[in-house]
Amino acid sequence: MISLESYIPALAFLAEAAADAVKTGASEMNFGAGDFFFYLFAVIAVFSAFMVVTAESPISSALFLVVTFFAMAAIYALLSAHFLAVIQVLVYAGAIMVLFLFVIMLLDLRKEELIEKRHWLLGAVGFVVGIALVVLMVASFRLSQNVEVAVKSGTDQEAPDAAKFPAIQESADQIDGSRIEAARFGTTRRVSKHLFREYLFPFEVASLLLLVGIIGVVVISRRRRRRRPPGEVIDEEGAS
Amino acid sequence: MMYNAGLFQYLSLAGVLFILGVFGVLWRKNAIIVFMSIELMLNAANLVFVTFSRFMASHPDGYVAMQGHMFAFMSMVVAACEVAVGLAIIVVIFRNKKTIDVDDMNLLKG
Amino acid sequence: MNPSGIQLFLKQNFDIQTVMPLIVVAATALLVLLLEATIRGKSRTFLTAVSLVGLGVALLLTLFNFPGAKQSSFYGMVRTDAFAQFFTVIALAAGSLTLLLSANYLPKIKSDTGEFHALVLLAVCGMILMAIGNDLIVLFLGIETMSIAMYILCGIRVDAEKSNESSLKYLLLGAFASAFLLFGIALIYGATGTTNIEALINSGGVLYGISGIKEYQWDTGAYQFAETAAQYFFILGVAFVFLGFAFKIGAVPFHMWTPDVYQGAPTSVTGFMAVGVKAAAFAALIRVFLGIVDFGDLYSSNAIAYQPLMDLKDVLLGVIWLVAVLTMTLGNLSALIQTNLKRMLAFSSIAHAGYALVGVSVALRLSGDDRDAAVGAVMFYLLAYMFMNLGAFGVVIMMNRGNDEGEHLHDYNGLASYRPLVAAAMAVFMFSLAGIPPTAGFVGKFYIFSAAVSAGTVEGYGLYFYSLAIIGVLNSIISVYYYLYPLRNMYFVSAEREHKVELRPLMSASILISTIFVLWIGVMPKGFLSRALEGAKALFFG
Repeated sequence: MISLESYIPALAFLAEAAADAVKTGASEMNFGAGDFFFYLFAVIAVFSAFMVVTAESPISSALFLVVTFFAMAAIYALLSAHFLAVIQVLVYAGAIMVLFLFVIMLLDLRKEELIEKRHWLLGAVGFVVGIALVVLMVASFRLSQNVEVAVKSGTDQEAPDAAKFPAIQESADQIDGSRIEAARFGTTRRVSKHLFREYLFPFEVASLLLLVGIIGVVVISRRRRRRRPPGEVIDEEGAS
Repeated sequence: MMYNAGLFQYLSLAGVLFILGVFGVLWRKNAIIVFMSIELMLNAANLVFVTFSRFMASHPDGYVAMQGHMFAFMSMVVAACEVAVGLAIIVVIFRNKKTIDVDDMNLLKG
Repeated sequence: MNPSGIQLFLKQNFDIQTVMPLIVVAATALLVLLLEATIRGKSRTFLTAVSLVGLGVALLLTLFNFPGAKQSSFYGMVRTDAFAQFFTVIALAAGSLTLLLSANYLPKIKSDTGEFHALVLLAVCGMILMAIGNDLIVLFLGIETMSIAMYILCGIRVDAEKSNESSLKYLLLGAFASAFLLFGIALIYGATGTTNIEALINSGGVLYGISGIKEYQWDTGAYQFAETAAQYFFILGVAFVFLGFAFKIGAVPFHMWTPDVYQGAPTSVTGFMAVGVKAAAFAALIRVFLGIVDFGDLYSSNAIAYQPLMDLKDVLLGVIWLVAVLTMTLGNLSALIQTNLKRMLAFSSIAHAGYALVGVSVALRLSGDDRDAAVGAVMFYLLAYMFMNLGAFGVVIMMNRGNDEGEHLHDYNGLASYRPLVAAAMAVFMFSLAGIPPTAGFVGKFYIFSAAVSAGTVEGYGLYFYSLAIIGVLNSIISVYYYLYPLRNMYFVSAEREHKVELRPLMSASILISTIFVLWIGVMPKGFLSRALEGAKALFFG
């Protein structure tokens, strides 16, 4: 099958490396290459995200944001979302970041303007709320950790109600087959298959959204023509 | 065993990135950096979608797993649009006011 | 129910007729853009006419040729039932009235471009998507289409700093809320394995997300762990989605943005935001949260032992109770001290969102016919609110003289003596907003509060809903003071000088239409209410 990953060896490598670790229900669990790469890119992503938020100048923020986006792309690849990984690099790290940097350069902020007072009160609120959210999220995500442990430790337990899960009648071979299928499920082929069938309507709607964006940028950034026919009320509001 | 990269680890990463974004929006005053923080939040949400997609890959219904990919894809479109419009507005503000500090946006008060 | 069956519920139906109003409006927007390029230099009234024809055709299609039946198309992405029809009509009517109001106002603020018309039409497209969207992805894209169009419309006066500021504030906060919404949707997807509301209900109350994976079905223990995790994901996701929606309707944690943004935006856009965005956001909110609560009920009826998800409904009710009370009270109290009419109307629109939230919280608790009555009351209220609020903004636009002048309360002194008809129309709108009979506002509030009282008869919820109704009525009484203040100025204070108030035909037509509808709905609410109830009944997935 011709897929994106055959063109981009790095993607294939990451997906391969992650395959063992991500595969649920695998019997032998060691700290594999997939785990290593996950932690590597996670640390890079979190560090650079932290720098985005704390950096003094917008330029360094923007550059750290590029690093975050690249790390995210690598993590998408680990999750075998090949298509999205490529799009992430093209759209986010490419187009969006160029736009950001372009605007920052265009604004030409002087040094003294970069020294901003921080919202310490709001920041403190954000910190407390953030900690609460982390606790909340980790508490609920924590349960998902148990999930995998349980799956790995006890696959021989009694089967659940078969009436509730007709799929249970399928043989283990079929499940293995579906696991192989799952390993390459984020390819362009799979994505486009659904994008142009079930998601045809949202796809068309997205074009409407882009149209709004195009018109918006034209309207906002166009300089007004200075034509003032006699008798027209002059709006000097901006000067006040 | 506990340290293998599983659902918990991926989701926690997304949660941390999201909260860093929230923090940035509340703490910073530079409109461009606030905007970047929002991008961070959107990316974290995308990561949640992709993670769930991956962990549902062996779901009996193949369509279930792909919905996350579709959503992440669409949210990238949305983010691109928002950035384009938002940066245009920031440029116009800078042209008129010579500042992009959100605290200087104080013409509108009761 | 089959765990692999989510796709089975989604019909492969590419019936283009179901989205015909949407297509007509979008095509009109494109046509307007093309015409703008070709008729450069001339008056834009022609473009208003073209846009109105497009909206009119879409309105006729919606009223008389809407599929109406409970059917979804495009693989369940779109559901064109009577509920969608009702809100599509609101969106189209709000768009038409806004364009009528803008026709003479745009040259005054030097924003008379075809893009304005196109953006209003595209924002209407977004609102229609929010009305017909049956999948969270369509709702999300609809919200974004509408919001981005509104960000631009707020900042369309690129030379006015206030307009710029309004635009930036709206954009930053709107994008912030969107990120919460997206994160919430992601968590709901992880828990339920679907983003489709219809599939969510049809799943029979089973979480098919991460707990629906084949491997887990072999193992009871693993399934239960995954199931519990999914419940927490679901609860967290619902909370985040509610945060996102609370922003769009301007409810209390996020009400700070409303007055600033409303005051800085061009007045016709403010009117459009106050009614259109709010109505569309309520449409999406009602569809999503009734779906979520129905799912929670189904889940609870399946459960043998206690599960965390079973608390969701009560927690949600508590939160919405608090938000509704705070929104009503803060909105009204802040409106009391305003001297700028536009800003006062902004605060009053916060309060009105609070009244509508009362209806929503009642609808979440009740079931069957009572729920239909509550949802119908909210829908009816939003319809009435559209006419009275756009009418009031129309009068503000009429008084406007190019900049802030004409927005202050003292500018209305003695208006009745030299423009009695305008003053009379304003009186009708203010009476309606205050909820005094025989106007639409009274009937709307009456239905909402009576729904709250009837919900109070439910065992164990008496205090909860009675208090909500009482606080609502008290708030209405407070609001009478500030709504009648402009009337006092118009009728009992003599004018120092007469302002030039031009009665331009299109603007007057818009105000006349609003007045007629406010009185019509107020005197004969039956027909409108029955359409609203029909919509509410269609909402039930059965």
